[in-house]
Amino acid sequence: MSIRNKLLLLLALLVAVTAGNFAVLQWSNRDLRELVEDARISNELIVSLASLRYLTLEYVQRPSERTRAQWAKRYEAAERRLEEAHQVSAGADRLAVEGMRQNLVYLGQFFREITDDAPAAGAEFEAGSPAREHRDRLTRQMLARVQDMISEGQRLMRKNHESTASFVERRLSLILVSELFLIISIVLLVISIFYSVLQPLDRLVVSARKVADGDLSVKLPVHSAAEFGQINATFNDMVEKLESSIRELQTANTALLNSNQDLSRFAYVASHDLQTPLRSIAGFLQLLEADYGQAIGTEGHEWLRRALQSTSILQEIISDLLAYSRIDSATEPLEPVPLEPVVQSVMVLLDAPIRESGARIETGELPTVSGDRAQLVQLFQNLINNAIKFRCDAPPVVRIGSTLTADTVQVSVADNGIGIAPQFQDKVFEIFQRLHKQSKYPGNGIGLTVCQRIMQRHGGRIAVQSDGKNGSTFLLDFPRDPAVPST
Amino acid sequence: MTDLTKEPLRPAVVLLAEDNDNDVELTRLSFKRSKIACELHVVGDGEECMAFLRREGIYADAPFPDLLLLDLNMPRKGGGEVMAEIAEDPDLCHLPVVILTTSSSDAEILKMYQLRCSSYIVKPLDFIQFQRCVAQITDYWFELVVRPKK
Repeated sequence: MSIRNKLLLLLALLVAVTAGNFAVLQWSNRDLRELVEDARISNELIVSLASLRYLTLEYVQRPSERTRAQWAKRYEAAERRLEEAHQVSAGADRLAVEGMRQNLVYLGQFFREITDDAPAAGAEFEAGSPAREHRDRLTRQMLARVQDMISEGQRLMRKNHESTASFVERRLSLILVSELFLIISIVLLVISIFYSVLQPLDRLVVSARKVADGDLSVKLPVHSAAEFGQINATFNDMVEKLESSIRELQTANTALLNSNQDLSRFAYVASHDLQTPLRSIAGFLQLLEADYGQAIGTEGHEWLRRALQSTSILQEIISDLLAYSRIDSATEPLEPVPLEPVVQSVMVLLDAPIRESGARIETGELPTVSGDRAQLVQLFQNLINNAIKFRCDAPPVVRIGSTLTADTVQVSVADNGIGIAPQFQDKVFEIFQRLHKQSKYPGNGIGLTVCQRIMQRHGGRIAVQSDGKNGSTFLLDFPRDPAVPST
Repeated sequence: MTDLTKEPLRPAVVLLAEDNDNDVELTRLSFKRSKIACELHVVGDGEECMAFLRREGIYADAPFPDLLLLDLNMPRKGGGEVMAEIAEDPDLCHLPVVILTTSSSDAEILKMYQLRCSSYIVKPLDFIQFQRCVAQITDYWFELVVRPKK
């Protein structure tokens, strides 16, 4: 049975038993009133009859009009009481009442005879006269009947007392039994509710604690008491879903780890297995040039030069790819890196091309970002190197500045070079994408891809703005880290 | 002039542990072109290297080298394991070992120096530079440095 139904049953029992008791009390009240009324009637009847007896004797000894009138009054009272008793009585009692009524009628007749034959006021029948004997006989008969009637009334009264006592006893025991029934059912229901709530609740609390502590093997009984079956099923569901999503996460994580390992493996293969044969090729070509350069003539020399140039381009591609594959496998945690010293380092690294091209690097105020210093150096090195490489006839000017927006720190690297036509602006970030012939602007199309990857690792973005003629501006959006005070 | 009482009359013996034939050939040519004459022996993997040093099997008559040039990436037994075995072997631990490899991983470099390698050299990609590198190795180990005699 569900807890809700148990509570409803408890309520229904309380209401039913209370209503029952109330009804019993109401009903008993009415019956008791009747019993009390019966007792009053019998009592008053007895009083009236006793008065009749007294007044009869009084009248026989000293006949007077006043006594006769009093007698008549009492007679009427006794008649009324008997009338009432007749109305409320039934069965044998009714017959008894009818007998008493008959007797009362006789009493009336006897008394009328006595009064009719009564001597004049103050006089008395002569002793032994037939009139006196007749009166005395009538009187005796009357007193005997009155005595009978009083006995009968007393009997009725006793009977009334007995039935009142047994009635009260019966009703009280009925109420007692129903109260007992009520108390027992309340106790049983409360115990059962306690058990069906507290026990499963305890189990639920213990299980929830276990799950919170990481034990996902917890299973609660689904066929548990009442509503807890549903709660437990939901709980089991929840734990299962949690477990399966954790398992999925673990699988995804393992896959990610594997792919990271694949990447490291690739980096290793690239560094060793690709570089070794390439070194051999370059080595033997150089040997050939050194030892047999004279013999192969000018054309052969030119072919050798081209072959050697190709090996060095391939070598650069391999080392750039290696750098690219290492961006994500870097394990250094991000830390606050001020960008001004980063740009200073890059200017030292690019000293030769800067000097050669007569480039001017203008640096504004630069922020501190959360980052990997080595990668940030790589980022600015690639951008500044590109700015110098893709220059017009005028000496290159590179302006590096920054602006703060609501949630990003934007660093811009603007040049006065050849620019990038709008239709190619997305393409430049794709790997191996080049817009110019190798012979015009050397390179392998990895540099900006590396920049993009570095910005991704820093949780930021890179974009380019250019009209395709008057230089390009690269915009670097770094997330604004509240832990890093930006200048 | 070289002090004849100090130096043995035989040329310096160099053992090269390297699995790539082309690299072996380029190294041999570089040694040939260096001004100090060396006797270059070559083994193709770590197991052969250990057999050579311990004069086992076909290497029973092999000379004990004055210098070991050790590549790290070799089949069967890598240079790292060879370095560790040499470091633990009291008969071999006096041998100068120069790691000569293409791998420039920081972890690998640290590990080799922890095993007390004598030098760690990343092979230059350019042959001219590699030749210069070999010349510097022979100059350093066979002219400048006094090696242990055992």
